[in-house]
Amino acid sequence: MAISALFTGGQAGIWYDPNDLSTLFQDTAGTVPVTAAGQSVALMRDKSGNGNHASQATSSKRPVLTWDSSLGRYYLNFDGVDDWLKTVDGASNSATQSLAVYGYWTIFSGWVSTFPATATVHQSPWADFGLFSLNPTNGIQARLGSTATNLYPTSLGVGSAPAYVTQYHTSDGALYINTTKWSIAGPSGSVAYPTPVPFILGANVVGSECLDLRLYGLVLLGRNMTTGERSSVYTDLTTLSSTGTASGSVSITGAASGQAKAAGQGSGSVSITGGAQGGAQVQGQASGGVSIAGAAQGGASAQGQGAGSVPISGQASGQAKASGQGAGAVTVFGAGTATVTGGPSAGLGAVAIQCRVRRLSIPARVHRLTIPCLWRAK
Amino acid sequence: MRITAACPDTLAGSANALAALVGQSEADALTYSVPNYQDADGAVYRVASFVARPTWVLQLLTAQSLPADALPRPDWDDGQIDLDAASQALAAISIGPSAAATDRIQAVIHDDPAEALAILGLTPIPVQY
Repeated sequence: MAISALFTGGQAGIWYDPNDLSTLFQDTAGTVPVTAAGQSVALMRDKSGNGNHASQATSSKRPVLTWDSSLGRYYLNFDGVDDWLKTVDGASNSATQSLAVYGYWTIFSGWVSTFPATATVHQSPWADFGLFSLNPTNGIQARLGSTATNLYPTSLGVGSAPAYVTQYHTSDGALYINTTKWSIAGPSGSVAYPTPVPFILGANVVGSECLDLRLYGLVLLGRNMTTGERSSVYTDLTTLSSTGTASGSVSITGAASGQAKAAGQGSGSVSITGGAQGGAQVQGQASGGVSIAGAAQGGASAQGQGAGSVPISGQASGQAKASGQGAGAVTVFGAGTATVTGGPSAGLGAVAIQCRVRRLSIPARVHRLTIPCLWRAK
Repeated sequence: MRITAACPDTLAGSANALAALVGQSEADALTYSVPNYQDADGAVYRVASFVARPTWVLQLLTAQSLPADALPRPDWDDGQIDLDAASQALAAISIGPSAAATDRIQAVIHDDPAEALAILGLTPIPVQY
């Protein structure tokens, strides 16, 4: 399930994806696109379809688009001093029941921030949904109205943690760190807003307590997520995603567990190297190559016209799949499965399988087939 | 380069006039809008951190020698910016790795704003919940 499916039927909520540069602009009017790292972001468009775009009119308070070379994706860098973004009024009223943040935050000293603080933090009655107050003593502090519970000891990585996903449900006060439910429950219940309020990302209502945050993605939903939805949101937020024309390459190196995906015309290559467990996928016309090397357990697939090569080498146990007209070569080294599909005029390229392969499916014409090792066909 | 500037509360009006003068829109008059940091003595500051080109800094330093009526207004301004206040802020700017002070706008050039705040000797003002 894609994140976009959460918002079908007019479901209230918010979805920000800083890695999708088509949603970022250097002016609040949305006329000057963000095109490269180092540029400040005045407007980030909501991808949920609800129009809850976040903006910042004051130049110095804008986060900066930054490239994370280790993860191979962009994030918004909130400087922890005065950066924050704000939606129009009303965005928080119906979208505050479930939150997922793919972030990487650090704390330097003292009380730093409330995240995501809302417009009613300093108003009476207490009606805020400031989920994640961060301070070095209490770690993450879940907050609902005037009730706050410290949930996350600093020993678990506040200040030095890598990117991780946090999700919070107000129905039962459950906090999830990545996919694990935290042992301590936070406050639960409903939120009663006295007036339409915006959603403020990175600061409290008056623009102080700003958060030192790397924002890779964020989803708010106007209802609690199901277990399956929560899992899917985690997967999607940690999936490298780039869409549109002329997408660049996506790579995961090291002990990666996410997925790499490139979609659109002229997509580039996707590679996973090292102890990868995720999948690699390229969709669209003229897709590039997809490769998984090392102790990979995921799948690799390329779909669309002119798909490139799909090699899996090493201790791979996933699937390699190429479909569409003019699909390129599919190579599996190790215990994998290879599937090649195409139309009557497919003109498929070579298929090479080495060592044990559990299944081979080739329903279309193949120019060359090489099976040098043990092969057990179904 | 990233600049982190600490403006004492008493100079906030002037600093915001200058921020509007060198900024992109009238919204930049809200640059120093919140008293969000304090020093060890409890003095309150409004801190802004932003990325700027080196040429921008040079232009700012050059403008320090200009009289108030010689400061160029941006195209969007129809006379709202208080040039005298902006000139006062310009004169109060000090760039360098020094602690914040209540008689000047101290600007520290450092890629890490947390390090810049440490140099300025400032900590966030706690908010009671």
